Amino acid sequence: MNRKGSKKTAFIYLAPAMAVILVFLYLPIILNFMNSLYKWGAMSTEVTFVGGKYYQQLLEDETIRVALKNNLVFAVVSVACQIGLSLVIAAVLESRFLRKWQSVLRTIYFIPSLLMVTVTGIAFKMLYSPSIGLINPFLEKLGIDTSGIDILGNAGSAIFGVAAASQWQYIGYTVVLFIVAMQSISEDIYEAAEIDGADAIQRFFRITVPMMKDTIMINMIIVVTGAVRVYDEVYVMTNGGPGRATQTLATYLYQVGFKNDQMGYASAIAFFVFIVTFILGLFQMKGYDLGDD
Amino acid sequence: MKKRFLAALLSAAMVTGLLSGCATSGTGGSSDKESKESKDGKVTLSFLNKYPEQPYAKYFEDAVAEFEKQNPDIHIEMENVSDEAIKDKLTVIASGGDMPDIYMSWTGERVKRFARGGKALDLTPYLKEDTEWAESFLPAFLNNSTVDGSTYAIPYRSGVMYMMYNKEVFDKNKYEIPKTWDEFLALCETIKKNTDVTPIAFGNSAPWYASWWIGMLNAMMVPADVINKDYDPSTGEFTDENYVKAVKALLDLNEKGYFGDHVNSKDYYQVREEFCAGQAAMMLDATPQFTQFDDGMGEENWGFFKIPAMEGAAGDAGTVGGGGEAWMVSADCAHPDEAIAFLKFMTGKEMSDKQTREAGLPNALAGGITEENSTKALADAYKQAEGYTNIADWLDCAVEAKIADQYMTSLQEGLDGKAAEDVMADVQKVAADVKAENQ
Repeated sequence: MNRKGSKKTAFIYLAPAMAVILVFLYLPIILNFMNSLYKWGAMSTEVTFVGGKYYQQLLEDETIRVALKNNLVFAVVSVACQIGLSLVIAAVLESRFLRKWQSVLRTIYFIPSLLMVTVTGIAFKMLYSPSIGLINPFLEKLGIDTSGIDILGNAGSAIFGVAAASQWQYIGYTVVLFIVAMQSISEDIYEAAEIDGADAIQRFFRITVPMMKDTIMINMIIVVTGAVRVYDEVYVMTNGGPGRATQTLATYLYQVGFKNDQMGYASAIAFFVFIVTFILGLFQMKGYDLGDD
Repeated sequence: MKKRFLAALLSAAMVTGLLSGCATSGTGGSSDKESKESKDGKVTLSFLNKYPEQPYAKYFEDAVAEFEKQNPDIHIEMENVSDEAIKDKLTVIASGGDMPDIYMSWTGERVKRFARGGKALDLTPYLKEDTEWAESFLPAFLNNSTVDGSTYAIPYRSGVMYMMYNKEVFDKNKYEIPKTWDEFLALCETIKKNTDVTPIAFGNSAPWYASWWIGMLNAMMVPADVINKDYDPSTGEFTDENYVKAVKALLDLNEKGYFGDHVNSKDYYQVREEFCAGQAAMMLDATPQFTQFDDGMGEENWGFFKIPAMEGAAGDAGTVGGGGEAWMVSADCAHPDEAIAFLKFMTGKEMSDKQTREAGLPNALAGGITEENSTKALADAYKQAEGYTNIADWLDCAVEAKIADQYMTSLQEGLDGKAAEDVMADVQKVAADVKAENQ
């Protein structure tokens, strides 16, 4: 009776949280899926059932492929910079001869992540501009012919320009997270390694990285899911252009839904994004579990 | 037992609280409105407008204040959202279901889509009732807001496209105003060769600017009946080869370097600054922006000329590119009579005059632009415009949203090297989809 009773109580206590999750998380996913089976728009009153038509359209849509590629570019660049480069920067800042300056440098690196994306987006847009920017004149000083360089204006380079701005903004954030994790690693281990004759690079790869596996994993999840959902950077800097060269899944979804007024198709894209993030999440959770043992 | 019961009760209360929270948020719009009305018998009308920047904002604020003074029972709640943002905002609000009582849109397709979706009040009865009001507008701008014989929007701002030019550049080099397209091209070539200024200011990172050009070129080069058929979502095909020629004409200007470099990373506002700073010789723009050139360059330093005629082109020579802005009343508006009263006030002779004089926004009244209420340039521009018989809307306001999006996207790619034929092939594909959907 007692145990049974406590189980019941547990359910009752869990009920509000469950209800919140059901109503605000699972219900919208189901509703969104149902919406994706209808042709409807914000402007039109007509609602017609079209079944899986939008999912078929999605598979044939070239822009979806471009968007996936762009999200992938974002993910790869973000992991390389916000995980790889950040780790190196954090390790350098933690090294003995820089520790005196660490708090100053840390603050400098951290400040960009406090700025609004709109602000950095517009600033980078200006920097990149071939007519008023600073990047092209700088490259010219280095003796590079810049007549063909228009970072955000050329379809080939635009997504990298956007991704780079985003890295500039967020590297400092992960650096700080990594420094905190590094500071919790006991100094003794390093000392022991040093006595055994390990050099700085060996210490970094053999001690720092393995000891921080959990932090790295968590940051990886944040960075990768962020890359799948990336929207504001693109919206501010290129709005998906030139052509559709910088459309990401999120910007394309917005374009389709709110500019072209195809809410049904936009819902289908949203469901597709959900599937992609869900699969990514599963993989990462699995990877995270493996790190435990 | 007692405790458990209490816990159950509390959690139940929480859940119902949440659920009722959801339920009310769905209908919150209408209940909000009703509560607004009841306050001491005053009627509140929400008004979504698109002029947050000066000197426009001040004019509209003053105008609203003046209306409220004359009509103490009506309160106008104006919100101003900028040009690009309002396009998104209106769609987002439309999907939420709670439209402002009065909102602005561009004449043409952007009005018609609200009308087709049942979001706009049919204003025909009000116009029929007050024929004097109905006849006061320039017919081209009022007629652009008509669906199946019903009018859904009241125009308050008109725009006619002209080519602006820098007088200093023209005078110094003794250039003559080009009358034909060939002369225009020759002039661009001369400017490019002999001076260090860009012949034409053009920036397309926000791709609506190319839609001005292509809307104008289509009107010049494509037969009018073909345009009428293609701009209608239910019959549009865009298969006429003249469309390809029009795209080619635009892309040629870019390929020959008349637009300068890197057009896809500059936007309209940047190139307008460049033009004002004397870095470009010409720029395509419309009458509502005349004040910007006055401010940016000084009245005496810029001029304008009619878009040079294209000899032998298939389009209607009497058509000029342009477009209007109009106010619409929401279909759900609880006080349409008050809303109409406000629109009548705003588009009446007195306020229209003031709008043109103080804000520099040309009104849409027949004979509404005179030397008394506007600059010499503006009055002159409208005098010249009398020779035109038709207005071709900016393309992004003239065709269905999906087609407009594809047109602009592909043009951006065209300026990056895509062939004109491929640009139109993209448009045709989307137009075919839209046609099938609208049948």
